[in-house]
Amino acid sequence: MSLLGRLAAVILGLALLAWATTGEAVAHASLVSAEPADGAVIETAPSVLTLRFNEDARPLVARLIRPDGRQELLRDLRGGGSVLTIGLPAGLSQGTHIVSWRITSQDGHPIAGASLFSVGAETSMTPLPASSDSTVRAGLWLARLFLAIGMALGVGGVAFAAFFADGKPAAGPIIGGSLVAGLMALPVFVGFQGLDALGLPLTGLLEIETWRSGLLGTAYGHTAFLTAAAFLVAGAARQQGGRLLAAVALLLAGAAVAASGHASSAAPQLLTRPTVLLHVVAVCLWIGALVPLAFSLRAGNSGIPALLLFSSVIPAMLVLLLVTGIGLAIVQLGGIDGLLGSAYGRILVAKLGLIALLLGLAAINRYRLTMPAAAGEAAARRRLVRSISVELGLAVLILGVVGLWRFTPPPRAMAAVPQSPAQTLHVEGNELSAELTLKPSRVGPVIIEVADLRRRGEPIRPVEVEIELGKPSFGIGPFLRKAQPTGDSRWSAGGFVLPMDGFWVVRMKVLVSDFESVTLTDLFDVPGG
Amino acid sequence: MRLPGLLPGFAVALLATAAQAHITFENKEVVPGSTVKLVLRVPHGCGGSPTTRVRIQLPEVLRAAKPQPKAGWELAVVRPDAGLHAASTGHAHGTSSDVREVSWSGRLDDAYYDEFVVRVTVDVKAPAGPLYVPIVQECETGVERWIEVPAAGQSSDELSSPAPSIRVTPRT
Repeated sequence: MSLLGRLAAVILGLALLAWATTGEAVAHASLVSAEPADGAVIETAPSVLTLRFNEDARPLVARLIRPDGRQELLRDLRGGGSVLTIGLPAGLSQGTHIVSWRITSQDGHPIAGASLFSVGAETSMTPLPASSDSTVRAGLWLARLFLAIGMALGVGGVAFAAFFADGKPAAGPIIGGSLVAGLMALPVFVGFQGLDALGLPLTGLLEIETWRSGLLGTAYGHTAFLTAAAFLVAGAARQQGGRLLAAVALLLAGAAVAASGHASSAAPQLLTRPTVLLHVVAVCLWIGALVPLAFSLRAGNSGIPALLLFSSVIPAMLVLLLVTGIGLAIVQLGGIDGLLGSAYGRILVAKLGLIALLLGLAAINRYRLTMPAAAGEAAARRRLVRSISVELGLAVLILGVVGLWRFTPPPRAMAAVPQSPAQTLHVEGNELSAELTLKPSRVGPVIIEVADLRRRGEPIRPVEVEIELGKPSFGIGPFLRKAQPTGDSRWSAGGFVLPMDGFWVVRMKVLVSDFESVTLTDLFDVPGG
Repeated sequence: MRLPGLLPGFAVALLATAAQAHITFENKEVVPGSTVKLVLRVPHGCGGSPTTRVRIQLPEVLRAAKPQPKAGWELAVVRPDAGLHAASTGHAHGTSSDVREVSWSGRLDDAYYDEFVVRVTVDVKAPAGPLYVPIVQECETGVERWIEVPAAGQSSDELSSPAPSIRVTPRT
């Protein structure tokens, strides 16, 4: 097996490993006390936060979230034995602050937690502004564009060579160059994802936490791993030839895009993720064919057989492209009104306009120019080459426009905000079932109510109920609160303050008897303000 | 494509660690039908607070339990109300129903270590595999419940308060 193939296998293995180990915080050390205490309201701003653990702990990282939602990394961490002192910046304003921390215990397991304290009075938090640094967003867009070009021109080009041109590479340097450019854009992509996730400026690239967040903290990390694997397998396919490797590279590219993003996370995911995968595969096959075709046709008549084969297949691919694209757009928009009313919709209109132009050009190529060029007419061939070049330009423009979607929430996500003042989940597992309600379902102070707690269908009266809320992908929390009984099989846990929207992991630990506890885990999707 | 041999190595390094701060049994394996002395090791209090009570709930397959008294500790046993349980080993030593819960009440400083012993007979029909024994550790301030049992596919290493376990291995 070639070096590239083996490298791809290692990357995939690491991706699987990263998948398996993200998120979970195993508490082998545990917090004994905090000063100021969790949930305390104090008169003057404290200068340090002291955490006492039951065994020696080494500090990893700590983050402060201010009442206005701004986040910053706290660098003054002093740990001696089992006591950790976190220096807080001077001049903390009035309101509720959260310190989210991460330590390793003696046996190497990292544990995470959060402390909440209020200076003067408790305040509700304003939601975090989406990555306010425009340099970061621009960098992210650019890195993503290069990744897309690497996929479309590189992986797509390799696929074209394998399926349509009998493995004889035309425009080899450009295809190889696209793959390399894509690979080089990957670390930039990962770093900037981390910056965006933590809301840090460019200097945040120097922090290891940024890279950890970009690689392991969000779904975009999975995208990065799969993209790397796709590029490497495509490289191996280029060297060794073979349709199997090219097909695998295509599927990996599709899976990489389907692993993250708004379109893939829309319900039902069983339908949307494969749809995105097919959409991306069709895009790669189409755009990837443009450069080799243009090059081989410009050189002479050698590209004709490939051109004819491609022309016969492309209508089917275009149908697949259109069907998958329209399906995804419908799910995202939730109605025609979303089309011009939202930023998402406006980008979609731009993309559709460009696609219409592209399709028009493609139709001209297919029906007016292909046959004469195939017959050997040099003039027709030259016009075809020019037309393909324009197609290529339009395609890159479309890829750029599509990259803007990263920064706009689709209407379906925004529609959730005014309707539900509370969100209820029915959780089941381990013979236990309950209704968990998040009140109110938005950023800021919230309480979680547990109702209809049943075991094997029968209502039970547990000894204790504990609720844990956390956002492991952003390194926030988990916040642990004991729930108070408020009636028959009803419990309520308050004192949570959510500083961000998005997915929050809720874990309910029910002490059924002195010797038996059952834990249920689920996700709340908190809509953004 | 073969997965490189690196992968299992990485997995072991990342997921497996020695859990030194947990309550565990000194015994690793027991054989069905045998009578063993189970030794429970308590290395810590609850978050620094001294231990005041250790409670064990013995699963059904551990029969004829006889806890060992400790100097300075008060020993109590709980038997479920029931009729006679025939001892499956064939040696009936007079107890009419099996002990299900044992507790020692006393004081163990967090800085010190101690062991708690109970002699049990493993049922001949005990199924092979790990056997989880839930423990409740009560302290001057706080309670630690070592009662989490890993779900199918999980490992004890991933839990924060796993129930100590012993492995039942058939006699070969």
